[in-house]
Amino acid sequence: MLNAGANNLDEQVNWIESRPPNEYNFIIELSDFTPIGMLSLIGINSIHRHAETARFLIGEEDLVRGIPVAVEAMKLIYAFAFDELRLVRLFGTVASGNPLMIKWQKYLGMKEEGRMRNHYFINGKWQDAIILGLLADEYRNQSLPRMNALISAARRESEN
Amino acid sequence: MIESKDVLEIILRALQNLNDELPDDEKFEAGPTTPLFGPNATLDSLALVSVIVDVEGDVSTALGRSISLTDDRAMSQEISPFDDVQTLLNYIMTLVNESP
Repeated sequence: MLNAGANNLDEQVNWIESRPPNEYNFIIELSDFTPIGMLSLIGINSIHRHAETARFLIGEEDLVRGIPVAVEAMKLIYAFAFDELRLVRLFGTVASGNPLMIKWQKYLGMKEEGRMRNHYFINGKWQDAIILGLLADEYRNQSLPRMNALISAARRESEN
Repeated sequence: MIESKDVLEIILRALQNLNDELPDDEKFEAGPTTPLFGPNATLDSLALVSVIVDVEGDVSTALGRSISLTDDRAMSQEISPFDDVQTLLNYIMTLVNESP
C-alpha cells in the first residue's frame, strides 16, 4: 500500500491520480524489477528551485540484505533533483525518534536547520520533526563522494 | 598514540550504541568477529553509517587528528575495512600508525 489511507487498488489508483504536477513518486526496484520501496520528490518549486524529499520507504528487508538500496535510491533522486531539474536546495523532515536516519542523512551531507515540536504522532507518542536541508554544492562535495564510497563498499562485499 | 585495544573498545562501543537504538528483534551480539557489511552482514547502510560516524569521531578525538573511513583510500583496500570488526580494526591501526 502506498499509504495507510489506500486500502485497495481503486484507492491506490485514486491516490496516484490525485498527485499534483509538482511532484514525482518513484518505485524503488531491484535490477530484476522487483519493487521493494518508494521515494518521492514533492513540492518542487521551479522559481525558488527547491523541493522536498519524502515518502522514503523500503520494505522487503530480506530481499535487500547486503544491497545498498537506501544509498543508491538517495543517490538517484539527488542526481535527478540537482543535475536534471537543476534545483539548488533539497530539504526534508525526519522524526526525532529515528536517530539512525538523522545520523545517516547528516553523514550524507544534510544539515540540521530546525525542529518542529510535536509534529508527528507515531506509535502513540508525539515526536518532533527534525528539518534537514542540502544545497547543491554540499551534494557535490560531500554527499556524492560518501554515497559512492558506501555503494562501493557494499558492492565489493557482495562480489566477494 | 592509541593502541589496538583502545580502538577495539571504540568499535565495540559504537556497535553497542547502535544496539541501543535498535528494536529488540534486531539487536545483535557484537564482538571481534562480528561481520559488518555485505550479504551475510549484521548491518544495513543506516547502521553502518552510525558505526562509521561514532568510530571516526572517537578515534579522531583520541588521536588528535581526523581520520576518514570512507575515502578513496579506504575503498581501494585489497581487504575491505568493512568485512568485520577485525578488518575495520586493522585498517584503523594502519591509519593510526602513520605519521600525522
